[in-house]
Amino acid sequence: MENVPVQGGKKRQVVETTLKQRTIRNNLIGYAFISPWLIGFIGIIVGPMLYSLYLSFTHYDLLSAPSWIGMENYINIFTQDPRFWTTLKVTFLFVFIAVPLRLIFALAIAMLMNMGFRGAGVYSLIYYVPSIIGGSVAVAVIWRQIFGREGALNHVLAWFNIEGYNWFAHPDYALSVLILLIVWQFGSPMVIFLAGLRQIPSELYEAAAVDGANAFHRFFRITIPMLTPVIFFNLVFAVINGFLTFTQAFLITAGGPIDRTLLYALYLYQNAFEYFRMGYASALAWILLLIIGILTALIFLTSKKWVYYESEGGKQGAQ
Amino acid sequence: MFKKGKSKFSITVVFLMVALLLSACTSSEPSSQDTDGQSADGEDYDVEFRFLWWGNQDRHDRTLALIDRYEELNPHVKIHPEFLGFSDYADRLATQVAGGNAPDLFQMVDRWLPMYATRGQLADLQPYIDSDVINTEHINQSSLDPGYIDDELVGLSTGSNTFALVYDPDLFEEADVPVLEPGYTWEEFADTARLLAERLDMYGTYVDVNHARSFGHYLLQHAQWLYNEEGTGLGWEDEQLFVDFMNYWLDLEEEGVVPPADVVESANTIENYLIVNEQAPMQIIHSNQIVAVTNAADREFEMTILPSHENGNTGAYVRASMFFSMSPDTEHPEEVAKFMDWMTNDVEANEIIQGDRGVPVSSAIREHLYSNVERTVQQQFDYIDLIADYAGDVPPPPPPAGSELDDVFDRAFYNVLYKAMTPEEAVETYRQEKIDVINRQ
Repeated sequence: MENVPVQGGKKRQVVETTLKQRTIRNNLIGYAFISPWLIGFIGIIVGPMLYSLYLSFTHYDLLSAPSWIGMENYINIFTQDPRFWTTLKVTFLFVFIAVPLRLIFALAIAMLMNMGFRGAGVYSLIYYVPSIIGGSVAVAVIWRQIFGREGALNHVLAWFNIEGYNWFAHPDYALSVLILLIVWQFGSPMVIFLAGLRQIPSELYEAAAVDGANAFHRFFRITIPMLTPVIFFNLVFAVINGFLTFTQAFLITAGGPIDRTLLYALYLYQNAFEYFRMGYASALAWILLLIIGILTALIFLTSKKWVYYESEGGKQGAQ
Repeated sequence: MFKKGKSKFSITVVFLMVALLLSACTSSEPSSQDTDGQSADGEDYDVEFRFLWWGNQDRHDRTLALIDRYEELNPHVKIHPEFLGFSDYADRLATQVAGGNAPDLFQMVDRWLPMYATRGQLADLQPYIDSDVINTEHINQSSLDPGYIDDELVGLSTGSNTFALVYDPDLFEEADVPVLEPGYTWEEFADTARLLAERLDMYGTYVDVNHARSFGHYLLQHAQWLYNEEGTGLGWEDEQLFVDFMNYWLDLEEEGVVPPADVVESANTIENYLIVNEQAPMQIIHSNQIVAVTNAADREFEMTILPSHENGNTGAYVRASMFFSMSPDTEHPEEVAKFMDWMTNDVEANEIIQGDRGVPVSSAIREHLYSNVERTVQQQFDYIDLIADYAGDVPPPPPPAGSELDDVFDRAFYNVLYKAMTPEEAVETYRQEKIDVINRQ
C-alpha cells in the first residue's frame, strides 16, 4: 500500500492521494497500537459472546457436544423455572436498594471531603480502599466473620443484652447485609463525585450566598444540577455493576438462605458450572444482557430531562 | 522517504511487541500446572500421564508422596499432579473434559458417575480386572459394585464409607444418659436428644439436612428410595413419608432440642459442627469424617449406626467414599490401571495414604494397616465392620443431575425449617422441582 506510485497527474490529485495515503498509514499505525486490545476484544469478548448466543439455542452439558434445540431454553426459563422469577425478584430488589444508597453515601462523603479540612486526602484514601479490595475474597470472608453467629456484630450487641442472629443465614436479613457490603464500597463513585464537585465554579455559590440562599438551597439549586452529568455516569455504572454482582453473594451466602440472596449472576453460574447446563446458562446470560440493555437505555432516555450540561446550556443561550 | 521508512519500522515494532506479548501469555500456562516443582523439560519418559484430585492439604501431601514413590519404583513413568479443593473441582474437571483435555486419571464422587458415564467420558475398567492388571483377589465384589454404571466398571472405589452417628461419650456420661445401642428407633433417638438437651443445656443433636442423605436413609427403611432404578424419576410415592420426616425435625426444633435453621446453616462445615464446638453431643456424619471431626475438636468421639425403623429395618448401606476413574482418551490405559492397582493393593502405598480416601477395599491391606494407624482411622475400620452386620443393598445411583437434585432437597428442607413453607407445601414443590430437573437434564 505504501508503494502506490505518485508520479504524473495533476498537482491537486497528488496532494489528495498522499493525504489519503497518510491517513491510511496513520490509521494503520493506530490500529497496530491498539491491536493488543483489539485482538483481546475480538478473542475474549466478541467471539465468546457469539458462541454463547449459539449455545443458548442448544442443549449443552459441557461433557457431550451441543445439540440444537431452538427456543427451548428460553421457553423453559419463562415457563418452567420458578427459580428464574425468584432470582429476578432478588436481583431487582438488590439493585434498586443498593444503587441509590451507594450513590447517596458516595455523594455525602464526597461533599464532606470537599470541605477542604486538613487531612481530607488521607480520609478519601481510607474511604476509597474498600472499593479497591471490595471485590476480593478476603473482604467477603471478613464480612462473613463480622455478621456470623459468633461474629463481631453479635459481640457488640451482646453488651446491650441483645441476642443476634447468624445474619447471613436469616431469610429476613441476609440480603440487607449483602446490600450493606455493596454500599460500604462507595469509594469509586465517591472519587468521581469529588472530581465533579471540584468542577463547580465557586462564583455560583458566592453569588447565591449574596442572594441569601441557605445551605439547602445551595445544595438543591446548585450542587445537584451542576453534578447531574456525574450522577448520570455513576448511575449507569452502578446499575450495570449491580446486575453483575457475583463474588459477594457467591462467597458469603451462596444464594442462601432459601434463595433469598440468589442474585442473577450467581444463578447463572450455578446453572453453568454446578448443574452443567451451559446452554441454559447462556440463554440466561442473554436475557440478562437484554435487561441491562433496556434499563441503561431507559436511563439514557430520561437523562435528557434531568441531566444538565453546561455546554448545551451555552449553545442554547447563544442561539 | 524517510518518513515512510519510519512508519514501516514502527508498525513492525508494534507487531513484534504484540507477538511477544501473546507468546509470553501462552507460554507461561503449562509450566504453572506442573505443581510438584519438578520440570519435565529435557527429560524423556516413556509414559506420562496426569492425575487430578481434590482434597485438603493433608491429602495433597500424601498423594504427592505417593506419586514420588511410584516414580521411584517405575522410572519410566512421570505423573503430573493437579489438585485443588472440592469446591472448585467440579467445574475444573467438567471444563477440562469439555475442552478435550481430560486428565488421564481423576477422582470422582458417586453422584457424578452417571453423568460422566452416560456421556462416554469414563473408561471401562473391567478389562483390566479380567486381565489381572488390577488385582481384586482381596476385594469383596460388594466394594466394587457402586462403581458400575450400565454394566461397565467406570469407577474403582478408593475405600468404603457410610453414614454414622458420632457422639461425645463424656457428655453422655455427664448427663447420665445411656449411649444408643444399634437397633434404637427414631423415637428413642428423639427421647435421648431431649434428655441430653435438658440435662446439658445445649442442643440435643444437629439436624441432618445435607444432600438428602438422612431422608434417603429413612426412605430405605420403608423399602423406598429417592430415585427409581433407571434414574428417570422419583423412587417414592407416599408423600406422607416426606411430611412425617419433616415434622419429626420440625417438632424437635420447636422444643429447642435441635437448633433453629440459621444455626443449622452456619454449622455446616467441620470446624463449625455443633459436636466439635460442644454445642451438641450427637451428630450424623460420614464415617471417614471422624478423623477430621476429632482433629477439629481435639477430643475423642465414638460412632454408632443411625436410628432404625421400628420393624428393625436399618436402611444402612456401605458406599464408596470416592472413586478413581480413567479417561477413555488416555494414551496409556495399562499404565494408569497399573498405578490404580498399586494404590489399591500395595502395602507401602497404603501406608502413605493411611486410609485417607476411605477404609481400604482390600481386606489384606485393612489387616495390615489396622495395627499401625492412629485411633481415629481404627475407629473407621471398626465401624465399617460393625455396619456390615446391618447393611443392606446399595441403592441405585442417582440420575445424572444428582448434585442439582441434592440442592433441591436442601432447599425444600430449609424452606420448612425457616417456616417459609409447611411440610405439605414443601413436598409439593419438592416433587415438582425434582421432576422438572430430571426432565430438563
